[in-house]
Amino acid sequence: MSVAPTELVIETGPSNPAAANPRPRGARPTRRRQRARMVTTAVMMTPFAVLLGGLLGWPIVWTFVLSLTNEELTGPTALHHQFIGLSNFNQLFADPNFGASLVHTLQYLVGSAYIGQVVFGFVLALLFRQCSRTVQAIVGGIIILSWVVPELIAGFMWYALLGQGGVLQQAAHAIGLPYSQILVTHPMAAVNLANTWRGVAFSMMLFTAALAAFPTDLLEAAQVDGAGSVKRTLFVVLPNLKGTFLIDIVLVTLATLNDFVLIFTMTGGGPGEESQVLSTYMYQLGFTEYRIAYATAVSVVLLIIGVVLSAFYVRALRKS
Amino acid sequence: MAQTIAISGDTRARRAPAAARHSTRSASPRGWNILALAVGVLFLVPFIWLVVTAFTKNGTLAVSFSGGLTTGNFSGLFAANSASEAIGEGVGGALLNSLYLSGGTMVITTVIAVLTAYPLSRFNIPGRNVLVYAIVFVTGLPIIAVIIPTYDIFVSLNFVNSLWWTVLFLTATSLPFAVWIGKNFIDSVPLELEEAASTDGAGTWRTLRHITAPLCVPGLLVIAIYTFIQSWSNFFVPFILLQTPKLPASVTIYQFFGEHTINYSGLCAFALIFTAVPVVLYVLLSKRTGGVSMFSGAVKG
Repeated sequence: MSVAPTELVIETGPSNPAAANPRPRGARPTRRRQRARMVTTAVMMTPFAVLLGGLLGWPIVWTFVLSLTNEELTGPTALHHQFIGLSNFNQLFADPNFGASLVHTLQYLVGSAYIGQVVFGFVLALLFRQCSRTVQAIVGGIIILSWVVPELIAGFMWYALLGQGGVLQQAAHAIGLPYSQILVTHPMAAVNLANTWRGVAFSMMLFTAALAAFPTDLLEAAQVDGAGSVKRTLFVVLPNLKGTFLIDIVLVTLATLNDFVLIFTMTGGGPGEESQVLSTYMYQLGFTEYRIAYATAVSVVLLIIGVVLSAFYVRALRKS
Repeated sequence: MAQTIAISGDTRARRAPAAARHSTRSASPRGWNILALAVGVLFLVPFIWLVVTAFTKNGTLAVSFSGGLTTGNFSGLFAANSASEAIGEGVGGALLNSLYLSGGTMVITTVIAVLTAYPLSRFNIPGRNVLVYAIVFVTGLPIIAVIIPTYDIFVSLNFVNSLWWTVLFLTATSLPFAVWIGKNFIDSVPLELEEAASTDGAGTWRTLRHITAPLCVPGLLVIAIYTFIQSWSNFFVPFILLQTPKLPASVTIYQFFGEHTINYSGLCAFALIFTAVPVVLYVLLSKRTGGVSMFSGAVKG
């Protein structure tokens, strides 16, 4: 790592005098200047390139390499692992727990990301436009607060709310209602609810900004044409916010795929495998069962989904 | 309901007849305000336990005022020889570790992000757009997927349980987003000023230091504070890459929570201090930048 800063000092030498001493006008100085700029650029970007290549690029490549081996954290293959081709993937696609975590990941996406954050976030943004500024500030602030709280603390707060001996059970008991242990009986519903609470602020802010920038003349034209408020929302606002929706959907999907802590703290993926998603299953394979290589096969699946979605994201941004 | 979700623009600017305005706006605001406030109250419910337990004695997983209100849980955290069970010892150290991790990540990320974003914004280098989109592409990758291979690499290089290497890993993961919003900020600094400096004979480095950087201070603050908040709140990376004396507050809180004979009051006080840091920073940030603009980078092409 010490390479980057040293290079930075050494190589600034030649570029600095070239820029500091004004040269006689002509074709050569411009080319020289262009060259100096290229050198400066290279120097300025070196720390970035070194860090990203070493601590992100290499691990990404290593993910694919490891997934083709039989490495484990303990035992004989910990030190001397071998390449075993695609066996990990063959095993993975036949693994019922992997299938279950794929299904749960989809449920988590549809429940907490698309319905809970994109749709609900849009509805909240619409609602806020009807409210007074004070109410907007207070309620918006509370929702953003839920989003700024570290995820780990959010997980514990929801555990204390829904878990055994927790606040909801206490409340149900106080008014004489039966209480079922939601974390045990409906773990996916519980984590969906928590992730909606935690994440909706982002979509809400995105849509609030998009609606604030919405061209009013379009709406006025629709109103003159006799379109009611629902019609205006459906046929004027929604089509014009297509880009915002697309970007929000991609970003929220990526954030939800990357989520681990909330489920880990609330249910630990259980009971059994009932709320296991890709990230928690990967963790369990790697650090509870010590099957490092097999766990990276799950990482590869996560990475490939991420690559496809990221490509969509870049495309959506280039268009807008 | 159908009548009133009118996405009208600013009502002051709208020139609707008084009668029409009356039907869409005046009749409804109170109803919508009450609905919004109800949503706000619902969003507050999960906080009740954390706050009440932090300020009462002998807390459990339920809400109870029976122990009486107290601020002793907070002072107890930092008592040298705390009698309050497991918590107390190590709280200060854990917070210092958190500060080391997030402060280090913040400083290195901000400096490198500016160095990278400046030529991306200003110089007409070949392949610039491809590079920018490649960086945006990397911001989308699920970092969680590379944690096991990173751990594997760290084990073989003997980097595990090093705060410094964890800082560098956190830096690598925060850099792509930081570079991108940094580029957008520098894009918004007028080029004419730099051209003037350049005409006066200032080189690239001097221009960057004396002209661009000062104008980018609000942008720098956004990158710095955002990176700090992200690293402070990060649980998974230090959970995997660090061990006991070097663990930051996020992982320490997790470990306390897992113990059965737990002192929930002390734990909630600790969690509240831990949570207050990103909340206060976020408030400062949104005061400076006006809320959403913090993410303009993520949405702007």
